Amino acid sequence: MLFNSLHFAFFFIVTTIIYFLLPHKYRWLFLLAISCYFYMVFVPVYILILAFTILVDYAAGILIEKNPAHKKGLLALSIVVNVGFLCFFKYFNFLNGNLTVLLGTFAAKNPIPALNILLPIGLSFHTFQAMSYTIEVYRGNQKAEKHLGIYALYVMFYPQLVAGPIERPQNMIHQFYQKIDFDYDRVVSGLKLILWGLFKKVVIADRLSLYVDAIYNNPTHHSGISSIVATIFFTFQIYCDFSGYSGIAIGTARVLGIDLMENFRRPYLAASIREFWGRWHISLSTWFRDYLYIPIGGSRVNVGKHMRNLFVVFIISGLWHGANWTFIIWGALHGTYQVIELVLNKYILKKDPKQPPKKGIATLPNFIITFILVAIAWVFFRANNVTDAFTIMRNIFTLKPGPLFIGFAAGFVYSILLIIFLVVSEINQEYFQNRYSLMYNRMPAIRYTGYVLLIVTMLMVGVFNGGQFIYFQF
Amino acid sequence: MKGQLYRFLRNTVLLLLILLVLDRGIGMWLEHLFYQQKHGDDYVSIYLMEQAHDDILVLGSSRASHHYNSNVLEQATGMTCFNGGRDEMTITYAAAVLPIVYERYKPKVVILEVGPSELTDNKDKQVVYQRVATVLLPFLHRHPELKNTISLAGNEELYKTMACHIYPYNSSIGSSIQNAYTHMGHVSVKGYEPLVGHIDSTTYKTAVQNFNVQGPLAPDLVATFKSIVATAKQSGIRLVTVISPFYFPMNTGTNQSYYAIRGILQQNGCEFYDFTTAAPFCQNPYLFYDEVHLNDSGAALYSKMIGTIVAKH
Repeated sequence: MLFNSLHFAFFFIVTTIIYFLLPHKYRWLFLLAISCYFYMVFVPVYILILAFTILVDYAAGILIEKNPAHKKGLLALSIVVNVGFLCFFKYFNFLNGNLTVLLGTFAAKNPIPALNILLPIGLSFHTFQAMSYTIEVYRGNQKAEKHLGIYALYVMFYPQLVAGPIERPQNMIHQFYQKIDFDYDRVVSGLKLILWGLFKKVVIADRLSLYVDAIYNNPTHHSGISSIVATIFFTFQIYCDFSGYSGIAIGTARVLGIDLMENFRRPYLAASIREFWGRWHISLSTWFRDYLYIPIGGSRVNVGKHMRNLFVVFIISGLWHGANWTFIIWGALHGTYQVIELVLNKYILKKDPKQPPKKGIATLPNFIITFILVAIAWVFFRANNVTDAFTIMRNIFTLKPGPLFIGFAAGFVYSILLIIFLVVSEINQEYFQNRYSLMYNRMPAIRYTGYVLLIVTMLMVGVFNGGQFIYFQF
Repeated sequence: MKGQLYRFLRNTVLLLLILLVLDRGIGMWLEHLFYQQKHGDDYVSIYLMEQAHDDILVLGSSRASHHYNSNVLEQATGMTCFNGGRDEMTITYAAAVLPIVYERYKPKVVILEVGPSELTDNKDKQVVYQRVATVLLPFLHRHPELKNTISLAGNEELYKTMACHIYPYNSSIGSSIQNAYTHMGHVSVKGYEPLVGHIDSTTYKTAVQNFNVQGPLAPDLVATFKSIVATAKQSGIRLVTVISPFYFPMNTGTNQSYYAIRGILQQNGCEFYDFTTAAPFCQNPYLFYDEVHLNDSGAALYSKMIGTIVAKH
């Protein structure tokens, strides 16, 4: 069930009304039941995998708490089960395909056939969320959850089940025990997030995708200028697609009285790659920071190891996104950017790493450079394969001659106007705390004008058959 | 809590009322704007369904709109002609539109351009249904009989159109204004869209797009094609089904869809012409814009041939 479908709209309205009508003690059960339904709409049988991992991690949590002497082994067992499923479904065919190519170079045949399996939706997200629970119990930061239903709900809570934000048990579990009354301000602020998220997905992301797909699905036939425009469009498309999804997820949870963590903080206004990662997919970046980067030494090691740690984290982050060399190169590029930035700051600019990032017009060149570097890396993220990615890069860097592809002329104009609107809106949020936003104005008449304008624009120029969110595939 | 709930319900009702009024008002304005178009893709459909009185109508996808020069056909046959071909509008679109046309008037000849694999089952079928539904949605209020075709893309499209007056005209405002009040992008002549330029035979060495996909038949597409043939027969309209030329030669010998098309037409006594590998088109770069579309010179030559065939009978 997609957040941008009529099915979800109906599901959300009906379940929210029932949720608030139910006595508090039955709400967890209702949330769990509708979350199961939400998940089973995709591929019903995969709920069994989810149920199995939930049981394993639930038991692991309790056993880790009860048996401190064996907690390391129990944690390892839980991680092996979770990562095992992830590897099997997500990486088996990738590794097997690469093995076939490798053996082929020695004129040998790979006896292992490729598996015809569908990746369970949101597997990478709920696996990481489940792992954060057992790790936090192991570290003693979270008490083992005794209520199986509440633990299952922590993993399966439908707004963030398939594409995050990847939550932590300390932030989530206690909220399911709290008695939640209908709160006007909370519900309205949640609905505003849903509306803005939908606008970003349906109006901006899916509109831009029409142009991006035309170029990226046929890169050899397009010019340098078209490739540049498509890459800039994709840079905004993926932001609006994923932050739009996160906005709807956070807004939906907020209506139900549950607070989820912020996932995006205007990432394209970052003045460095490091800052970009503090603003982009925050729940995943902090997951890698807390459970991988710091445990392998983080920055509290010598410079060489620090560089290695950064690089390893970004390679794994790339691999997390998908079993394809394009994602690995995307991760490697970001790792390289971070390493170069580290060297520049430490040895050339001699910056204090603890100093907060500068703001204002002085950072404009840094912001532009960061944007360009991020956009270049997105080429690999979007391209259908490595060959296509290099074709696009060649088109861009050699400025391959040819006309600018326009496609549907009105659609091209909408796309440019929408990007301008988005940038203005991001600047308004970042530097003016939404002072000039119609939706957050103090006067009800102006606020209502804002809501109506967004909804009418969505109906007039939104793309309603744009399909699923990009991050659903991960 | 009750006070907060009452406030929420009151404000929601107020917002819905504002939206309802705006939706009706803007929807009516967009509908008016839509039907004001004087050229462009939507105009082709408007003309077909609302205005056409031509003797010859051409239907099919982009290969129809680029291959059948209406003026050349008129000269060759002495009859009036309109090319109603539209990009990506396959037989599903033709089957939806033709009964509406026949209800208003009976053209003398309908030329239906098809591909060899028109009836082959394929995974992109749903995408095609979605595209056809998007094209037909603005006509649903005036022609409720389009409901069945639109619902092939899923009932959601119908619900959205019933609930919202703006939705059928989604994304049309820019092109409606452009096609109603300016001449920008106006290249078609009676629906025919000429393509200028020719293939570079040094780069086009092998076929990139496969228009001869082999595979089992799609029963729903077979039924759609049969309905086109049956409706034409019942209305006493001469249906001429054609596969126009391709740049690369293709072997349709084992294509089930190709034989099904031919069989259905034979059973009903309808004409079928196959120009797939016809001379002087096949592998003549000066007559093709790309591997599947004739250029203006190719279309002129081809239309003359078709015109002669139509005039003969």
